[in-house]
Amino acid sequence: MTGARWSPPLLRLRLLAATTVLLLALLALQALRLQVFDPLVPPTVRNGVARVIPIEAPRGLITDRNGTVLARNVPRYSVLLVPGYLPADPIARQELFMRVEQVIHVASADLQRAATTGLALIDAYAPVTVRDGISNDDAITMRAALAGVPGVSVGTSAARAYERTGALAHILGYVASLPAERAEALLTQGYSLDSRIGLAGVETQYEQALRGTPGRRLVLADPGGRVLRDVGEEPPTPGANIVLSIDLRLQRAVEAALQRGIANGLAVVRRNTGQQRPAPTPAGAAVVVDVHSGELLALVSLPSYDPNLFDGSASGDAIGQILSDPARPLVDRTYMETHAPGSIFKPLVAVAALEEGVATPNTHIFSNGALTVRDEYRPDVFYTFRDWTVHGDLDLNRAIARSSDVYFYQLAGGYSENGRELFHGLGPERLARWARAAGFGKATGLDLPGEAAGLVPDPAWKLRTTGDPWVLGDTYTFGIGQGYFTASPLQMALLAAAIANGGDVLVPRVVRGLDAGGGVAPAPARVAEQLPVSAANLAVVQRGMASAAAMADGTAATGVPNGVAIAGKTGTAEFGQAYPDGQYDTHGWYIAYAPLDHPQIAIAVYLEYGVGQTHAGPVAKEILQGYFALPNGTTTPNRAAR
Amino acid sequence: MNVTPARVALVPDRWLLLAACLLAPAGLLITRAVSLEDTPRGLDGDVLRQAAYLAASLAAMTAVSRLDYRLLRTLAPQIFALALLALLVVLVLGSHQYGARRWIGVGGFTVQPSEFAKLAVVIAGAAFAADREPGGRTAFASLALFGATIALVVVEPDLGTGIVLGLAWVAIATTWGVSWRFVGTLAVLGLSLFPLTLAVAVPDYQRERLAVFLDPGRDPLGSGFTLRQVEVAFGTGGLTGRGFGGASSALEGVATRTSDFAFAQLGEFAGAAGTIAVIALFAVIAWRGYGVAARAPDRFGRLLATGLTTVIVLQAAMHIAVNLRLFPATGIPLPFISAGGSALLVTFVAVGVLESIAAHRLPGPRESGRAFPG
Repeated sequence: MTGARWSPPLLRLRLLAATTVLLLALLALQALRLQVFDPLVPPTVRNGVARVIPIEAPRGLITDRNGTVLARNVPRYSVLLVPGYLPADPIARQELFMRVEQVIHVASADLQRAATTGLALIDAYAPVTVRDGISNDDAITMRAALAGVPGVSVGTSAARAYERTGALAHILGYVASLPAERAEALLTQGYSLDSRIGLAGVETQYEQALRGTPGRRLVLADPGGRVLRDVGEEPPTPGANIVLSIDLRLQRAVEAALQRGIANGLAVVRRNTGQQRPAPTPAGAAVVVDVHSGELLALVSLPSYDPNLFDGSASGDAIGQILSDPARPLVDRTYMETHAPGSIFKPLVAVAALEEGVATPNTHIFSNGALTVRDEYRPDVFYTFRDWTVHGDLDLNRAIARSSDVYFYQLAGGYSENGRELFHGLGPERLARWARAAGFGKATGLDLPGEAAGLVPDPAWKLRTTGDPWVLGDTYTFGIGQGYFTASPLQMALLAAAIANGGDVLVPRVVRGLDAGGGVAPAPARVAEQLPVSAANLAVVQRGMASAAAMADGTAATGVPNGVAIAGKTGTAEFGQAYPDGQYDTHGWYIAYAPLDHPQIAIAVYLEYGVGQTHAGPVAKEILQGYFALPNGTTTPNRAAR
Repeated sequence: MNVTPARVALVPDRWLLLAACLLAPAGLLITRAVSLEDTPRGLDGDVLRQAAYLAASLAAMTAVSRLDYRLLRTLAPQIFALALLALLVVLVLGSHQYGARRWIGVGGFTVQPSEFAKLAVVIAGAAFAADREPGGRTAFASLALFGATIALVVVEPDLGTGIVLGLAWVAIATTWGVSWRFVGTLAVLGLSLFPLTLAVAVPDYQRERLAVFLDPGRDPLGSGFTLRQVEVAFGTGGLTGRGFGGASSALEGVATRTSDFAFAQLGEFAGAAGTIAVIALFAVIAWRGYGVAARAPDRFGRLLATGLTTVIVLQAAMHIAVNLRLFPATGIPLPFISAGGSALLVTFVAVGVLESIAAHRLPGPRESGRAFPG
């Protein structure tokens, strides 16, 4: 059979088989080399258990638009105890604890307890924190005193420190340990149990960018968990720095002005009425927005809180106090809550009336101080809708300047006497459509979490929600920014900005850009809605707001800064429980843009208690003066083309 | 050519079957040990699923080994057309995982058509060559047959499977009788084309892997770290391994540790003893598989056995070479061991076909356990 045995096909198959087996033999040699003869891991640590340990990336900084650092990383010192390194002998251990007690001022009994926790039994090399929040100086002394003491050391971790002035807490937010209910999901996303995560404000909104990419260490540890050797490392990628659009100097000025306004506004609250009324909460909000870019230059909500408290170093009492404060300091009133805006809504009603042909600049209406309408179903019942004063004859310009309620009742709902229509109004549907076109009733798209949408009511909504039909009175109150309609101070500032810039309702933002090392390129302005308004009609409303600010008897005159012409509008909206005489507490509002001819900024001021003209106006004046007093050229309002 | 076998044994080639059945449980052990890290008690879904795949694969192998392999010769065109179609479908509709488009969903399962394509192209290549004499023109034609399949696999991209199929063609052509000069020229051409292919047809991620392979320190995306983990896994495995007890592994966080890095994971758990045993078992499969080819009753059987053996063993060699850092990382499973239903099923079906060919083999001069006649 020799012939068949070495016939070409058989010969070739033998060759194939031999080559393949030879190849496998070479692989076996390499396997032996990597595992036995020349392993990466030296034999001394062969028993080591491999562990992958995450390395947190340095978190990105947060600065204001001028580069002032608002959130930075600081070392945080704590005394750590590693039970596995402590002397095993109980007496030696006790002596060591006594010695350590002298240095770190933690009772030796507590140290003993820390060394024998359940965790220590499972993983004796997991560090236990026995003292936290040590000052820099103490850390140095302790480190020196603890040198050579086995099992006790001063450890350093990164903590976050926030700018305390300027009421920035709502914008910046804070970082804290992983929340228990999200921990499991986060662990699969590369967080580790001792990671910190942004839980509010920019810290949570831009968590991914700020966090960077964690690195990893590959170590060999002994079975108890003690690290024997580093065998590999993948360095972390630091988080990007975030540049806010906020100007810290302006933010501080706004905070101070608002603080005074809130204190003054509380004067509207009447005491000793004999009624059981909730205690008034001193609160308010103010927004300053660039009318071209939508960048927020200041965003203040009071009361605020100290975000540094949430980093785990504060006592539970301090945090409990914030959580239980009836003024709810955690709520950002600039955008998380909505209220009836009152008369600052009127400029939009005027725009709608002009565009819909309901009114012209020459529409004259006489306000004798109230509007009386007959009940639609019971002819003997009359309702009275009051104006805030007797204005006499008004054209549109003067109606805005004097903020006549009767005038805007009629623009909104029309007016009939004895079944004869004397004035045809917009009606609730058209009014609601214009409100929505101005961005009301939905989130503005601000880059912060938890935005409130507000409410734009219409007959269908009312029937669905309350079961009652829409009545004329609902249209009247809607027309003066009260009743069911609510909006946030941020939305009102954006309305003012839209009136200033030709009708663009901008998407506001608090972050100017990310800086991964090469500077910031501000994103172009984004327009959420475009009010379909002609330049001529918009100019009518702009003139009305300018008159409100400039005329001696204009309601908005209290908000005019020295030396700069502005357009402004006041608002005073009733809310809450009626007093015995039928009066209510009021929110005080003010919106404006400035300068009048070449607008740069729009503002909104909201006082939980106050009157627009008396209390909110002066706050606006201070804010505007603060803005125009800023040194030239250092602020950089974004002039990006629309 | 119609050869009636002398007798049909229950297990025509018991060494081949034994090797296959010794390799398969290693995959289950690895999957179980890895799942133990997460769920310290009981069998979790991964283990049960893999056990179900294994049971189905063994059943398929048994069924196929009872069939007459010559049926495949008549069905070859249809099988080949279906495989090409599936490869086209996966390119269009396939789902992305780990940066490649290799899977399609069928019911609740995901199927990897390139696994079935391996089988199909070997059947088609063997059937094509069986009817023709090896010459320049016919050799080119069979090369084109493989080339079309390889091209579709490589653009997925699945470079590893492409290389394995290229080597399967070389093995079939060699056994067929294509002149050494032809095969040699192509081999040289293929080797010189390799860098060009890398530059043109290979996606960035694979080029990056190559760069990382050459210099593990440079990696920005973590593959270098993975290679480091692989080396440490082999190192801590040592001679006897750390056992399948579910202790923490150096490959923690490597998503493909039970598939593309199964050999490294085995090296950590079972040590050099385990890795050498696995390599030895693949050597047994090579020796017995080519032996089945040598004693096949017809040319189709001989070429088919050659191709199937090559696909199994060289894929294993490729996987092991990647794990041992001798070859750039291309995700390629270890036959019998890596987690994954498609690969396991295809591998066992291939063994079933080999057994079927063995059942029809020519009687040797002596009835012995030797693989090769003589």
